Amino acid sequence: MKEFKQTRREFIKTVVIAGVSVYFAPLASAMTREQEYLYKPNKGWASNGEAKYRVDAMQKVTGQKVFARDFRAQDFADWPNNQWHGYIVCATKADQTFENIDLSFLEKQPTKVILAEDLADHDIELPRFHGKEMLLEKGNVAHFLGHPVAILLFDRFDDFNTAKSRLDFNQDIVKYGVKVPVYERNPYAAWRVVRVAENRTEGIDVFSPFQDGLFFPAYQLRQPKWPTERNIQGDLGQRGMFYADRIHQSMSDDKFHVVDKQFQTQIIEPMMLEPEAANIWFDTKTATMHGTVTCQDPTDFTEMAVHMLKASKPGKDIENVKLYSGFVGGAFGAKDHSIFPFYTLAASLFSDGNPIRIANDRYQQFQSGLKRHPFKIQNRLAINKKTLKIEALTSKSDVDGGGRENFSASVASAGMSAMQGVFYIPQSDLQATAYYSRNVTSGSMRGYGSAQCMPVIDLMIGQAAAELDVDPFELRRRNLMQTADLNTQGAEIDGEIRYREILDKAEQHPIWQQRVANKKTFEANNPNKHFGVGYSLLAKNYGTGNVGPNAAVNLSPNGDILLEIEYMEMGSGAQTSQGLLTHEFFGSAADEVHIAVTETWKALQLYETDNPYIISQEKQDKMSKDPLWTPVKLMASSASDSATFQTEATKGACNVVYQYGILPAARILWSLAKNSDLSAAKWDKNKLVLEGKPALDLKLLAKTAHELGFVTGSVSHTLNRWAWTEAEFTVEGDTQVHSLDAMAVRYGDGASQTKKQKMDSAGYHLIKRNWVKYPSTQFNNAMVTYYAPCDCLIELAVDKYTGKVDILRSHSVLDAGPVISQPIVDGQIQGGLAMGVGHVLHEYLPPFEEGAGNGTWNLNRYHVPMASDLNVWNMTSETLPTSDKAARPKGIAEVVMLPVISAVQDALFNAIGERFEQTPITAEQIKARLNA
Amino acid sequence: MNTITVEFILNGKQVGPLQVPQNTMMIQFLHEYLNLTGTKFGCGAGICHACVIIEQTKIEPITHRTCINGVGAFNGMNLVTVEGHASIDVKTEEVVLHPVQQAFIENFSFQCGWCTSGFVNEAVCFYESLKQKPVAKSELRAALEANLGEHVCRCTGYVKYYEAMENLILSQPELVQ
Repeated sequence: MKEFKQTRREFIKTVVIAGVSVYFAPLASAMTREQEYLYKPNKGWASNGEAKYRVDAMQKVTGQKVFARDFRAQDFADWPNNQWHGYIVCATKADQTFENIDLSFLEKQPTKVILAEDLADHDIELPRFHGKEMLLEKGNVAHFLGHPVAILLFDRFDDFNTAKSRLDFNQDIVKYGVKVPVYERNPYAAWRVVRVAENRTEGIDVFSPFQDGLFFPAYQLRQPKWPTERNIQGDLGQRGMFYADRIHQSMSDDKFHVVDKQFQTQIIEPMMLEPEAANIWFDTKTATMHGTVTCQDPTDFTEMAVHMLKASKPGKDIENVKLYSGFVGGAFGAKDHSIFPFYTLAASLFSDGNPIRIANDRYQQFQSGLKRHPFKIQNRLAINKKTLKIEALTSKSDVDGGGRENFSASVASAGMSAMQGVFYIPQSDLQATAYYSRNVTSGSMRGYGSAQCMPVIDLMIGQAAAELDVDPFELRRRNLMQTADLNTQGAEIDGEIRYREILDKAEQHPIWQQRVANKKTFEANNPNKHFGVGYSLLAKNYGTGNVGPNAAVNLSPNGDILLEIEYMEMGSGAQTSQGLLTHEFFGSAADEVHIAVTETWKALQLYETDNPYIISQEKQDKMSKDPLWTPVKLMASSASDSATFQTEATKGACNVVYQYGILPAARILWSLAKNSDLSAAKWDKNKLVLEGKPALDLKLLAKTAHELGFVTGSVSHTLNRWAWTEAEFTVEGDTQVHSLDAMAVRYGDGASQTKKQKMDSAGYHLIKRNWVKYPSTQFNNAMVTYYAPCDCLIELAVDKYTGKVDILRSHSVLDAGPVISQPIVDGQIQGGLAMGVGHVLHEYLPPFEEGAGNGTWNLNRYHVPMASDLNVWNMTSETLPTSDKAARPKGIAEVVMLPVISAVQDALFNAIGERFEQTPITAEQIKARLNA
Repeated sequence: MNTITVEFILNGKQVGPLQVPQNTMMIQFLHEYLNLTGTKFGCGAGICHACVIIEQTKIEPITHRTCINGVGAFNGMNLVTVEGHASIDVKTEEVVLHPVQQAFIENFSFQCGWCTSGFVNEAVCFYESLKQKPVAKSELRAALEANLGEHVCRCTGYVKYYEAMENLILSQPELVQ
């Protein structure tokens, strides 16, 4: 791959944040010669458009140094070798003032001790997103259990390790003062979505957020206080409350069967196998911060880090940031906007110019890491007894966000909008409030509100079916969303809805069809066990509403393909899936796939001005006229975003090279006229074929494209706000509309000087758009419109005497849209089943003083599913095939977990005749019900 | 700070004698003294088994957890970490993986990869032991569950690890009865 003219050791300046030059590089570039990759990362990983193994497989299976946590100072060629180590001391009492710490018992004192006053003296504060009191100030009460009070620095590993063994679990380090009330503050956010539909078929609403907008409460006594006046002619809030009241009142009509239920979910630890770690060197001589951190989104971290440094006394003169990004050893949202790396960043300002590494052990990870929010849900569902149609749903969720806000407001909103499940609900009043508590902070863990809310509606349908003596599949079928239906926000669901196909498949599956006979046989053969079958169908929204993916593709003269993507590889297989996308355009998967790339996008010279979620249509229209403006420059590595959103940019970049590099080269080689139609050309067995012409391989096409100076590389950017952007570009004299808003191209080595001179934007020729059409700003009121559905049939057994549940068989059907890589999707389904089983049956962190904030939790008490808890040999699945060529891949990393939660509960009811209203449903709880 | 002398063979090479603090865990020794980070820290409490490495005993290979065993406990042993299984064919310059590693990558067994080194080592031990003591086909799944069952994976649901091993073993008649 020498032709790419990039060396591993090369840092490329990427962006300027607050006057600071930021450089990114993959971790491999940092390695000393002796440690460079032993094995090529992705040589021969795919053939004929299918992955033979993951792009990262060779590195991971041989234990190479590829994760951020793996790296020490000695691994970085330009770092000093004297690695310091840090230890964060936390308060475990939230009802007494913090007075001081006492380290007198240590034989050797830390090299440095950092307290809140030291941070204050140096003007070191957390980024605004993370709140205040990075370290708890003396005299104050901890905002949450596990609130850090000090950072201890050690200049030798042995001293650190010896001290750590005496610091861990030591309750005498932190000295507390008087008893005080626990910390309080207003909720982080409160949401209310009221919708009254008028006409289902025409998609007209009387009132809905999408049509009318959102209204918000005041706060009183730490509770949301919604508008008290109801007035159909009044302001937005008064109208909203008028319709909310009308919905509540209507549900008392005798024509309805009303299911009234409360549910409660637990605090969940993400338990990604790689605990968080960071290694940062603040080089005062060159005013440069060097670092590597275990985060999903190095760009966000870096931007916040720069602002934090610039505001501090020691960091105010910082000129450069050099961040190495590696693979993430599992994340599930726990490494998305985590506060953790900022403690290492702060510590680096006190370590006398030496690299400082802070690496959580598992107890510390439980104590400080982001959790899945616990929800308390109060739902009422009204079903017309005659038509069996859902006519109204009211819901109120109290969401415990823990001690820092993080994404609690957004998670509460997402949960609320997920409450509808797969059903069409013409009238709804949905509320969700994200509260502060002294629990460990919750964040954007996999599920993002949907894992808590979405199973509830399906369970209520199951209960209603039993109470109405109706077949549960029939009740579902009557109420399923259909294509072009509006959701509870009043926005149209994007794409074709295939819920019914999934439902039909499940109903015909042997697990369901033979459930009665199987139960009889199983219970006869196993008199100590109950047998049950359960089902659930859910659809998870994916995406964040304003996503700005970037991608770049380059062909070398010998036909090697280098793909650069913005997305991080956390294990879900984004790197592999994206690498396969080039096959459609070049007849071959990418030879190299670089992840978490940031530097390349500067070729597009894009800038943004406003918060894209609240920008006015007028402002968007005005700014759109500037071809360098975009609502959003980047995308986060979260929210199941890669398959849909990253793909659009990747395919967009590939298409440009195909249209303006491959096809022109083919015309030359086939001796065709310049504008001849090549729409019939296609790739077949790695060769471009056209009837009557010799097949062309990529190597020859790339060589020709380079020699003749055609387009051989492209950078692309697009914007999605629940709809795609379109813009017109003129490339090589040809004008076309693309699903992009920004584009730059690179010409082949043989390009004329005139063309080469145009490549003055980071090595690319910036092609400014002729016009652009961004999605309407009204889509911001939609909250979500993209959904991926998945169901789950579960067959289980319950021990009559212990309450232990054995999952016997499962089958899932997923609509992933066009599948990019089947083995990757299959793996997601299987992993989702495991995490769903953990949520519903096993995983539990108690709140408050007994919970994770006390620093004593680990896998000895927190049970994640083991192989023996799962149906490893009987776990089957299928993905719906699609013939729709316009369909886009769907984000599926989260949905695969969700129906498992409700299907297991449904199966438990089938097995023992009991419904449970909280998770996890432990063996002890089942045993208690059986004995009651 | 009390110190001990450590000396063993690791991936075919002599390590030590070295003086290290007595409280040094093996995984810390691998990471901080030898800069071998392929062995992964998962729970630090001996539960998740991400950190296991192999001891080549005279009878058969066995695994040890390195997060709860001090480096001194490994004195005199012949050890293999995940970095020690593959090699490069000098003629083709291609990587030659252990059959277990090859089976895992071809079956897409892992995702994030943090548990992979532990699974590789445990599965290699089981695979190698079958050369001496083949398993009955009817008991293979139970044997796999017994051998790999203590390993935690948060991403995959375990299916592809288990399927990879079952297919690998069944493809080699000498390993089954």
